[in-house]
Amino acid sequence: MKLPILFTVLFSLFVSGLPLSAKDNIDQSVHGVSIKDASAKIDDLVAGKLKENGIKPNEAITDETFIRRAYLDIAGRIPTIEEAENFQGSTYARKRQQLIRDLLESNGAVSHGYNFWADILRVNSALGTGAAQAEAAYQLWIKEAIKENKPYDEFVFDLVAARGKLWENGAVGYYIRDRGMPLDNMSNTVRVFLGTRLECAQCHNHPFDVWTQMDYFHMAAFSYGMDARRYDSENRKFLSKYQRDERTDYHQKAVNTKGFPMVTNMATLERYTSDPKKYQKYLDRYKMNDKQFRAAAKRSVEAFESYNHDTRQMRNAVNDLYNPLRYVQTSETEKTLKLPHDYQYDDAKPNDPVKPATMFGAEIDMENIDDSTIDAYAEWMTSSENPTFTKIIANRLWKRAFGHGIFEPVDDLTDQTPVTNPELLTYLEELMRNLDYDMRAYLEILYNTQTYQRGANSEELVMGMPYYFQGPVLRRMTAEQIWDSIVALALPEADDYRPKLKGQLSSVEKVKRIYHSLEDRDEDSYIKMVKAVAHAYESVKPKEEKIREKMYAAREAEDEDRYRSLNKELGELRKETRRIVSDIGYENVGEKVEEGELLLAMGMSEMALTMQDGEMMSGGNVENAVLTKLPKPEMPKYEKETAPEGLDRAKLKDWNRKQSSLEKAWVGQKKRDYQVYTSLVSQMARASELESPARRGHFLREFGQSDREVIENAAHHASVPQALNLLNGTIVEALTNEFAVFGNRIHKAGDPKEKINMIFQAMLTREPTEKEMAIALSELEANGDSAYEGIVWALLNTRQFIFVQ
Amino acid sequence: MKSAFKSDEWSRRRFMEGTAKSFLGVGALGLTNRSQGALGPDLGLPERAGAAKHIIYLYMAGGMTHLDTFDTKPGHENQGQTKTINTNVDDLKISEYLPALAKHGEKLTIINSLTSTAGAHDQGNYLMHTSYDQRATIRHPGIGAWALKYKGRMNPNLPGSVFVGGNSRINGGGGFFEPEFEPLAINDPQSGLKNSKLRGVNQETFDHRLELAGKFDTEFHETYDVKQVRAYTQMYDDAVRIMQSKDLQAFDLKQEDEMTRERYGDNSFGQGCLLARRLIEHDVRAVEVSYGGWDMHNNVFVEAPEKCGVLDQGMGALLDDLERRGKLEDTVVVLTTEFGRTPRINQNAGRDHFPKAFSSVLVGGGFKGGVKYGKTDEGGENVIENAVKIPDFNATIAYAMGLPLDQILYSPSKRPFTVAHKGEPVLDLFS
Repeated sequence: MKLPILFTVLFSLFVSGLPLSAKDNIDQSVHGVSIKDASAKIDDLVAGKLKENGIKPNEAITDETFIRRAYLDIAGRIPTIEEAENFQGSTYARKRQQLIRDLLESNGAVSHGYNFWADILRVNSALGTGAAQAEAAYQLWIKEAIKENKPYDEFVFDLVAARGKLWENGAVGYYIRDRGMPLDNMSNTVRVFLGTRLECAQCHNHPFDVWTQMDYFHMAAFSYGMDARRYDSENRKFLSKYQRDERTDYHQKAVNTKGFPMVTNMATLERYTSDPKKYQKYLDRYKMNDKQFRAAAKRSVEAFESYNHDTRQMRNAVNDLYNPLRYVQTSETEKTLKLPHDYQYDDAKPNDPVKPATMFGAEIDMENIDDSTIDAYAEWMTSSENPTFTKIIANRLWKRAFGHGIFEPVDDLTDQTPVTNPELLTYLEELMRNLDYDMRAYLEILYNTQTYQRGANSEELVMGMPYYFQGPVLRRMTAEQIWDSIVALALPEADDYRPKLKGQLSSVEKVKRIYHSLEDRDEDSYIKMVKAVAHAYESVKPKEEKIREKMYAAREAEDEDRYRSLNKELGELRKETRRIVSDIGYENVGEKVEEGELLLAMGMSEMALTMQDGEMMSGGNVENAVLTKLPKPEMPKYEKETAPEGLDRAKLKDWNRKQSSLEKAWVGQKKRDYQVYTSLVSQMARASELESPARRGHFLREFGQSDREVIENAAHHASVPQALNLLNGTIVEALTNEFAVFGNRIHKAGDPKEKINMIFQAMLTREPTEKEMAIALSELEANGDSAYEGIVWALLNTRQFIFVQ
Repeated sequence: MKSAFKSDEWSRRRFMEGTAKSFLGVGALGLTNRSQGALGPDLGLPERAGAAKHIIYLYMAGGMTHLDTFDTKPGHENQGQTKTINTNVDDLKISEYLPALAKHGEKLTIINSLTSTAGAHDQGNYLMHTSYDQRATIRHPGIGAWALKYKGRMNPNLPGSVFVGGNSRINGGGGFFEPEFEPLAINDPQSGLKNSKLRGVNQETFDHRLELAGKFDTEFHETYDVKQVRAYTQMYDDAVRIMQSKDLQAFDLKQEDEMTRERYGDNSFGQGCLLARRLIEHDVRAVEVSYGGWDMHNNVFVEAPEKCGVLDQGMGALLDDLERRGKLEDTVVVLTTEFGRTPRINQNAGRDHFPKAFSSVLVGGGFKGGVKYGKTDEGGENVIENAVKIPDFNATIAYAMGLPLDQILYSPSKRPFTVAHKGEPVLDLFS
């Protein structure tokens, strides 16, 4: 469906959420709480504390500063030129309030929110073989939860009590993430959601807090049964049964004596013969003499060996078949946690079993819970009655808005923790409860306070000294904010662009189909399938062995060419093995995942748009449109000049020659630009849509993106590689590239002043001062068109670009 | 004073000094969880007489087969195709795949009795690098970071520690220490320090643009004259200085002649060894060169000779040069891995993970050389003499570098840690 250009404009307004003057009064209350009253109350509480301490609040900020800050804090990037113009041009009285709401509901906020939670939950897409689909499902689940604004208590409940297959419930990634480390998982859960550091108490009573090692194990006992280890198929029992039968069959045929024991090797024969009395009993039982018994035993061993040989490929087949299903589920099992072998306190003995018990707040009567221990635990944790649960999130989100917590660190709350404004904290806790843990509404109230809309704090905060919030704290942008700002300048509709989405969806779908194609079989068809794979292996595996032998020989002979070609052959055979598994075992289901349908299943549709003619296409569902591929920019055409009149032939020839070399140079330049575009710009996407975290050495990592190994491990420190990257990296090239959105706009803008204005608007969300304009114009005079690139470079390398004022 | 801020001149000056000294980073915001440790950037312990100053850590990721490298079992059925050769030291025998190292026999201190508790790659790799079990609650520093912490950086223009290799994740990096202890990562040794060269402009234009940036930023600097902003300005100065510094050449392998580069081998490991040598010569404290692909579940007798060939050439050339340049006394060279491989050959002619017994090598730094320490049984399956646990191995390295083994440092979460996790150094290995 092609839509007219008008629609595109409306659409982009929709996406950026900014038809400011057009909207009616926005709703003034959420969950029955008046936004105005709540934010005024907060301002009062802050003002009281400031006055008490003789501190003046900072000045209110201008619209220019506000819009940049709001975009960065809420949507995770700076505003585009259009977005800034829309806002600044609007005369709507409540335009700040409107912008806050629109941004909170935008896809940009989902992306930014994902980074926030991915750092807290350590969402890591490089968790080893077999866990990739689980991580994909987990990431999708988190993004969806943010998008649908899942209330915080439900969000946490769903994570902590996550069970099921990854395609039914992506939240199972919470346990798959920490598979094999149930105790660490518990420490992190308690730290993140309850603000209590228990990890010390894993090995001994906590040295600085009240927790004992016994408390630790009581708590760990709740989630100890959450099993995310290697998936073990129920169908394996068919196979074991089949193998047992086969084994018996081989044995019976060989010994031909009813009840004769199965002997697997000659050493086990000893077991029967070592005690003469017992041995005699055996001989009597089977009516054999020593020689006969030994002969029968030997035949049994031989039978075992040939059974083993004949079924070897079946075992290989089963291992290969289940390879993709390694980490597909979390289930709650009954597993008893035991105290460590070196438990040193008097209240119990080492290795004693431990029952679940809460460390504070309400007790859980384990006799009277519904059948799930983990549900009872998650309910206790996320209850509004829990002494710390609400406080922690109220303060954590406060820090998200203001850059500093009312207590710090946000996840280490002890009796000694100084709280700089207890009345404020109490109010926020109450507010969070009244809002039914609606995080979006809570943040909306915070962003609407005057306190938030004041100048950033320009003085240094010192560890351990209280901060009373005369304004938000001056912050360096996070790695993701810097990157995403650049991406939003370079790409069209960067917030909706999700290049990995289809791949993630189809990898999840694929593993689901593999699962069903293996597990939905009855015994007969299952055994038949395994046998078929094993049978096909028979013709491949012996070949592999032969090639290997030849390779040894080639190496001996130092025949490198032959060696290499054999190695290639070996690779082909391995491919063949994988094909067999896919053909027979998965009935090829994995190959046929329809990606478009997957998007539909997620309630999304694909959007395509072309930059050149301003038209776009959409599957119809505009609100949930996702850009999965970037539009391909068109190559501009060279506009030939007509020759001036009155040239004689020789001069005309000269003129033509000059023109064609100009054209050639022009076309060459465009081609080079296009290459830069495809190699740099089209590889970009917002941080949340890249690997989580990005690879080492990526821009994001250099600027301190968390490695997502431990909780909130992002860094905001200056480093030489960062400076080098901005000074000599590829960012300027990507931004000023003619095929990128920003570069295209500069290119198309008319007069130099307009271009300079545009560059300042885009990079710093403000107009240049008169002085700056004069400097920029003199640059132009001195350096011609290359000055624009120079100005972009210079602004990228200012501190005001990377600090959030 | 009721203000929450301190802005006295003394602390500002001190801060600036601190920044000037540090290359890789300073806390831009003194408020993050990580910066709560009360520790200064480095503890500046005096050098112990005779202790090594540098460490070159060659890591064979994936699990280096011990039977086909430094613990051969000629005549045993577990040995398979691999043959044993003599080194230049009587009775010191190694695998035929390591002919160059065989010429350095007198320098090699081979440990055949390492034993680990972790049989999966990640956990094993982590344990070997840090002496601690991998935890989801903390990151432990590696030996290079500990060395930097205790003894400081030697060349203010260069990072204290460098990691060379393609891995996306570094075990044993800076751990819970401050960010400046994180190694500078070089993916490809041949391309040097990323972004350190002018891009598409000449020096004049570069300087001019820098000046332009300064002009545009004047007002901001006046409004926000705070530590974290100044830290960035300082970093820019450092970055520009580094671009023009002679020390930058340390990263540039083209400074070496063609023959030398070839001698190390035309591959990332060999060139990484060469880079390690150059960095050490420019007073970088610690360099790790990581070389993957040792996970030989299939075709070990095809793959081992290939990997060993690269290892042998690179490490052989490194030892040649370190010896010739007199750097072996104050440099510890470590060759290690997460675990060995099953002595019994599996059905795919490969070897699987085997943490129970494996081998590593120590060179230089006061080690005896020309010896093997510890023993496995005739099949290479069990340690039967002088078992060396991972913390013991790391304690041995730490001891060679003169690091205090029993000094406790606290993480920001206030948990106590020591270099090598209370391991005991194997003193028999020192001459």
